[in-house]
Amino acid sequence: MDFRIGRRPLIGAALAGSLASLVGCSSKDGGSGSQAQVHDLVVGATAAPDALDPSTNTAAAISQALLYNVYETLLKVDGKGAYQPLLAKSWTESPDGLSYTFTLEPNARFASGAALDASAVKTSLDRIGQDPTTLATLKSQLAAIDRVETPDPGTLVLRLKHPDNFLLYFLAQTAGIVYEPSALSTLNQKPAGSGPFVFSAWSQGESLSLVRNASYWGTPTKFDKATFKYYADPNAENAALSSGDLDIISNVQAPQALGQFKDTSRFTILDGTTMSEVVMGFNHSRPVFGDIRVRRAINYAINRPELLQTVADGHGRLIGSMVPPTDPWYEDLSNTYSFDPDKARSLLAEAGHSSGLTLALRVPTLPYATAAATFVTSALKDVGITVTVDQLDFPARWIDEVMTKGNYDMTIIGHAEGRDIVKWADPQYYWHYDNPAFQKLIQQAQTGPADEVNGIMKKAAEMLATDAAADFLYLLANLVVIRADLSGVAENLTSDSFDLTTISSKDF
Amino acid sequence: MRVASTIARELLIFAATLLVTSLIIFMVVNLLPGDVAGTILGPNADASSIAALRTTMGLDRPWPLRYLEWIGGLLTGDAGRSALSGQPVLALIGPKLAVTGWLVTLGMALAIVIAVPVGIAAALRRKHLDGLIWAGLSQLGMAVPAFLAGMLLVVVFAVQLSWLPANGYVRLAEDPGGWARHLVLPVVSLAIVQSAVLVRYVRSAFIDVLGEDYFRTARAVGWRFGSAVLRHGLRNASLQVLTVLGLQLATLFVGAIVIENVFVLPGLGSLLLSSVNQRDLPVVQTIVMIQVALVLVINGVVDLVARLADPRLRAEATEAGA
Repeated sequence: MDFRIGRRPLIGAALAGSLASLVGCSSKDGGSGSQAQVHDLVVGATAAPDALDPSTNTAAAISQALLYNVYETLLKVDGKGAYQPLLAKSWTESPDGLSYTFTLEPNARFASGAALDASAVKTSLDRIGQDPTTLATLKSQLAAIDRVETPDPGTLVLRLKHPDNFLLYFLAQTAGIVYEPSALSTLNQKPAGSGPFVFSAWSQGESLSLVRNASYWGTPTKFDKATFKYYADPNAENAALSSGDLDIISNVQAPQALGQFKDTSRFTILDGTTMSEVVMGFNHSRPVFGDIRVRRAINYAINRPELLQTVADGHGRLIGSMVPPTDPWYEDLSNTYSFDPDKARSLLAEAGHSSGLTLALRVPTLPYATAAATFVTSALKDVGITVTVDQLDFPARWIDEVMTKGNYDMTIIGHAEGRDIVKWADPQYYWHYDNPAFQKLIQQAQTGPADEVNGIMKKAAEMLATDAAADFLYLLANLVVIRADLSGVAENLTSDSFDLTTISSKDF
Repeated sequence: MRVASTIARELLIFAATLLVTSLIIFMVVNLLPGDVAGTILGPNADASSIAALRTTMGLDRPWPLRYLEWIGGLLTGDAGRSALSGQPVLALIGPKLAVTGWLVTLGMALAIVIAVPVGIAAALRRKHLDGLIWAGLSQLGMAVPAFLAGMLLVVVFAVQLSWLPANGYVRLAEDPGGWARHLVLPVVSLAIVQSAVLVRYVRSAFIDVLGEDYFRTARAVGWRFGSAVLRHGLRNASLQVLTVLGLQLATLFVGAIVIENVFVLPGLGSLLLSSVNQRDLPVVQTIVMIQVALVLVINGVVDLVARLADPRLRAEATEAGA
């Protein structure tokens, strides 16, 4: 009998003792506290990169961590959509729009110390155009470039096949990254660029660390170290910020959970816009979607303000077309089809579906997509459309079924890439939307006079909306939570990058 | 001589099992719809560039060829490279295996430390209120899912009290203190559930032992109760418990992913899950192979320990061999 009584308190005491000693440790070097000598910034993110070369792997997580932080481009787009110098000090466009001349920043160097001159830029741009392993998307963004010339080390000239009003924009994004020429073969494991941070270590699925570039040519960062930590589980990410393990959550996955960060003495919540349009796409190669009455009926049947409330707790924007508010040609088209189930029913009857219609909605296993699918199913049922939903593993299965095989009627996914409205001009793309008038508008905007671009793009966006090319459900919110002493985090996302270069703390 | 041939035979069976398993793994994994080319190129690619990359990566070659390449590499200690990052698969898996290894072994060790005294107490006091309370508590512990226990611990000890980090991992070699702090909550939440299971087995094994003739004999010839429990009870009961322990350990090496997810531990399970989602097949195949091998090894060790601890089994083995 003595056995039990003797042992139990002992175990308890041992546990309590070891806990106490551990607790003692934790308060001593309190993590990323602002009092510490080393200024370390820890950023939480959800999607982890599985490779590190943004020119050969499409994962947005790569550019999120590396663009502007480790890698630089000739120019950069600011929060208002205007171009700002980066590696190029200035640039001019020829009157015929067929060439751009960039004057490079004379002090610019790679982090390794190697010179960043015109020939290095040429190597990177030529690689996108000519290397078969670089992504087709990037190739198409720079497709207008005919050849790159380097009259002297400080000057770069781009000769174009045809004028391209979108080129500068894409040069400011992933396609325009200037890589260190001697490191091209190892970019997937060891990024090498010219930014204020240098790649330090990567543990796949876990974290990616950057350290300060001690010899940065421009304004150095205030942080000695920056780490991206990856969380498959949004709850774990929230807990990490609450307990002080994180300084920033780069994109809150469950807006319903924002309440726990309301304490403004500890946290600041940013609620801005992304470029990610959540589109319920129709498969236009299916005869049923050849009928505009069906497409409009679906748009009338769904109460999008309520959907936004249900799916994202009201965070995000109703846009009505494929343009985020940060693009210069944005206009609010969200009232093109106001909720009107009666109109939806009569349009369906006109189209000969009064006896009912069954459509397959195949969504990726992403929280917003599955939540929206549930809402859509009940809304469409109300107007006489039976929706069969199935969830496809994302990315592999969804890409295979929906994108490659085109085996779907409707799907829901966020399109995060900047200026992706041009995808609607490609009939091969998985929506199979083939509208010559729209294609002509995009071509005019790209190659016509620069001062007409905004007007033409507005028309193109309106065309998508009135043609009910898809149901443009909403724009994902850019929900960022930061430690209260930090500032300089962009409220609106205008590139793939989580830009660390502008972040500072009021404590140091 | 006899021992050597027994060991040789066991090893041969081990190797043959692994070989057959590898074929099954390869077939099943390659049946998964979708592939890594689509993952790499993502939602903005068109079908033709996905097809082109598939050819470049050799994904369209016949499966027997790809199988032989993989298994041939494994035999020479080279599991190939990740289709996504190009990193050697073994270099990728090694650190993750260490994380899962620490989590599972420490978790089980703590579970044993909790379960053995509690289980014995519950057995000895089974007709008293306190004994019933122990049994009831273990029932309750089994009913609580590990992830829920983990989340509750996080809320209390990390978010409310800020005593311990909510999640994440630090390597032992880099910062032993940080390593220990990060492992406390995951190990405890794993141990809570596993010890609850174990308590029930320890308890029933002990109840059996207490009713055995040899135990009564020991008491009759003058052994004190405590000494009899220690000398005869513990050793006999441990044989039953050992089998359960082996099963738990094997299950955990595969099933620790739940705890890994809650605590964002970069373990084998998390890597397996993300690799399956991305269709990084060389990584998936190799992880599953390692898990199968681990289960076989654990079973083998349990078998061996049982024989060493139990003279009756040793005798049987000798008779069978003769």
